[in-house]
Amino acid sequence: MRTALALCFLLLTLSLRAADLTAPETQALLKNLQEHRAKYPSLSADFVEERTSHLLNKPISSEGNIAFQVPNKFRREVIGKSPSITVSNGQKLWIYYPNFKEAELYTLGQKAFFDDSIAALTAGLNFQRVDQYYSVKAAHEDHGYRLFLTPRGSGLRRMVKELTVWVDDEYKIDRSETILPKGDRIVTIYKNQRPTPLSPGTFDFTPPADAHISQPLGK
Amino acid sequence: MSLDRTFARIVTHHRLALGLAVVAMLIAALLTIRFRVHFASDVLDLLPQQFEAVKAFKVFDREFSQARELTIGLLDETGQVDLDAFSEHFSEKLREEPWIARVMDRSPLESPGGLEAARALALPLLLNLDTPDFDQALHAVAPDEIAARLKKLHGELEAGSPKAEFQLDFDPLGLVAPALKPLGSSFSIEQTRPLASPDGTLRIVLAKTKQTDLGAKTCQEIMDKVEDFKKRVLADWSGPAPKILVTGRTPYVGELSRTMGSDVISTVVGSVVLVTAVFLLGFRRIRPLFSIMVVLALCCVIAVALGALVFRELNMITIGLCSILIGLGVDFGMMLYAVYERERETGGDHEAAIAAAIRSQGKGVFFGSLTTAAAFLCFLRSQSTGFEQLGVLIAFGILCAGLFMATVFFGFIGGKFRVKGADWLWTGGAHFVRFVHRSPRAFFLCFAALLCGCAVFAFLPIGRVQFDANPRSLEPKDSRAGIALRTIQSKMPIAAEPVIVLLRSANAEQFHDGWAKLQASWTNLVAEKKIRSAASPAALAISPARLSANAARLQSIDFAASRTALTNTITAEGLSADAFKPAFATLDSLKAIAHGDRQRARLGARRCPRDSTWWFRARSLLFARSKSRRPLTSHQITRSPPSRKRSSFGKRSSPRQVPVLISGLELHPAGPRAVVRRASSPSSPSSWWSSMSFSCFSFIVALSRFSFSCLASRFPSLRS
Repeated sequence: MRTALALCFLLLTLSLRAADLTAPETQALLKNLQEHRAKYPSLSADFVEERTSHLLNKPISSEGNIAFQVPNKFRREVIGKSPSITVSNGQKLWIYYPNFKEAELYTLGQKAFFDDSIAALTAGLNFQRVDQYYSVKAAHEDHGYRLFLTPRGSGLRRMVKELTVWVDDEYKIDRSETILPKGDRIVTIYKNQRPTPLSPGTFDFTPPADAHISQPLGK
Repeated sequence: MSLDRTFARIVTHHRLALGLAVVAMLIAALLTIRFRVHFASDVLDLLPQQFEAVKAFKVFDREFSQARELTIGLLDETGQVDLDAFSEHFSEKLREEPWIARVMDRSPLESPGGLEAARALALPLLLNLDTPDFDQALHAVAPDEIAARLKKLHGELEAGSPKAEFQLDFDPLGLVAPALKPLGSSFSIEQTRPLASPDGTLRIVLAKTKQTDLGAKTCQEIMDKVEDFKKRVLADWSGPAPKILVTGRTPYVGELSRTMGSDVISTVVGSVVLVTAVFLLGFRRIRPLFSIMVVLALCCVIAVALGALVFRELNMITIGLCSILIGLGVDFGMMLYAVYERERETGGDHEAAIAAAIRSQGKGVFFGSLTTAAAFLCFLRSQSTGFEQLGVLIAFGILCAGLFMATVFFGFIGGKFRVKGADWLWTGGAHFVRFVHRSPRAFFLCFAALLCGCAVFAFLPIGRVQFDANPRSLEPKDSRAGIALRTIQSKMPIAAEPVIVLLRSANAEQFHDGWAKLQASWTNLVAEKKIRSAASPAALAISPARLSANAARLQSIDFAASRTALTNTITAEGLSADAFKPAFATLDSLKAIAHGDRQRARLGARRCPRDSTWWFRARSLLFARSKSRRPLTSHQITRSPPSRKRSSFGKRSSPRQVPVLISGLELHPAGPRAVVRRASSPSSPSSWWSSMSFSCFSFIVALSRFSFSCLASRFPSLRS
């Protein structure tokens, strides 16, 4: 009898914790998220990330900060023993590895699959055109919402299998979890979110003079 | 007994024997057609066969894998359709079709399994590198190099580098990238999205069918399946859908063969109706009309059967002989029957009337059929297979018509005869002859003035006659395959008709050397902006000599040490051993090749799954080897800027010592013009051929008809 009551209580708790939203409710949520992003077009936050890769025996943990401005500008700095800086101004994307003095330059508009991937990944941050790239399901949880995004196109599906984003009641992103096709998983937890204006220079990057620059997608 | 009486006697008294002979001939002809004739609907048969450009195009058209390829365009000019999603839906459904071998809707590297297939191709391509590049690539398997590379890539991976992750996953040893590097220069990539139009309104999907042969019937069956698939795929799609355009050899042949079939039927029916109308107007009798038609049908069947004995394959255009033969052959029947009828009207019996008709018109029919046959045999000069066949078949048909109208025809009309009271045509003809006889000068002047007027009108600068020598003009104007091709070409300039180069080589080494020289030459031309781009199978042409030399160099490498270094580094760096199995397999393969196992260095079907999209890229080499009887023939596609003349392309593009054939068709922006040229004489376009052939043909026809007319006029004196 006690077990049955405990089970009923657990089920009730679970049903209260995660209630799936209907399609119109999901659309309403997306609209609210887009309006929130329009109201606060730029944000910065600290993050902690854990990445599980099929290439490695143990997960990689990293931390750093991220700055984002709609529609597609972002700067992501990883600190610690393997630091890196990723900066996109919407036209060029730089990734710099200070330990190796190496920089990678990706020019948007050169390869459709790369452009689509960047647009799809930023769609998970700004929620603009998210419908174009993903099928969206949402659920109401304690203190916020969970959005479960499944890529629509095969091109994006080859890069991302699933993307889950948790937002709080104020529509701030709490956490994201990305499942990659070979079973790799990236879990990112965001803290100290600040919807403050960012200076234009945040999204500019010039690699150090002694850095070796490569362009993986070609010139 | 004279010939006319002999014929009349046979027809009158031996009708059963005559009927049995006709039936025997008919059965023999039908059996010949059933078991011997193979009908082709290839427009290329209508082009002059002596030009190497045409020969090359035929080889390219029939012996290379794209003969079985469908080029499918998904067109949306409304902007309402989610073309990416529809392309994906379309391709997935198409892959499930049992008659489809493979589908390509994106570049091979982006396709499912594309990376794995590329890695499998890398080993033979590595051994095909020239010595300096091979030596440089081999540094990567030194134990220290392996350890340093993996350590560096692991560090970059921890820092979040997508490049390092890709390299660790795809090419941990650093051997695949240098091996595949030559592919980059062999294939032309001009767009960010190679299978989409620049304006985003068109997506291309390529599909290879499993059709067993290239015949018209098989093409029709495949196109029926395509049409059925189109209906199903659209039914399965919710939302706006694009137009589905399908082109390629199979759609063209399927459509043209059907069109030709219906054209033949409609022209034959048209001829029969017109001839019937004229005959009824003049004679108002059913049975002789029916007899003429039966005889003409018999002539057609026997002509096709005789043609089948002469030619291995008949082009569908030759079936056009039926309507021509009806037009020509009916004259003989009407001439003979007019005399027969007149004899019967005046009281002659059946046999006497036949004898009179043959005596009166037999010579004219005989020489008429002979001169007409000779004229059509002049098509043998045309060097176009289709027209040669047409000429020979009509020659056979008209000779049969001459013979059968004088014999079998009278057997069919029978002895019964209904006397007509009045014949307005005969009466009218008599009046006309009397008029001409009474005023011959006035008649001559009137008609001379009329003909002169017509001649003057012909030379006046009114209107314009356009002589079109473009082979594309042979296709029906409303051909769906043609419309699809033109739409795709207009949307995608890169899909414009390329120049095709076939390389002739005696062995694999020559094949490799030839393509290497051509590729080097074309790379320079692209750099000089003399041609827009070039794509060749050079990177996939394996040199046996290089392969042996590089395999020998592998013997000096300590692969056991490399393996140990790889194992130790993986452990030290905390990498997953399972993820690096392909790297171990590569080292093991190299070691095996060093010890003489050349099978692992072969570039063949084992390395690439049959449904891999790499086959679309590699088809020029790989498929040619597996399907063609000319194992070392391959093709090259390149494009020159529209503003530049093609005439000098052959000279500029091909090194002298490389034996190549150059061919291709192009639709110029200024309008359709043929650019089929001979490699050795690039200034010989098909328009030149057509005008010269026309003049020559006209002269020979006039000469032959004049000769036979002279012979006919001299025949009585020769007999006497």
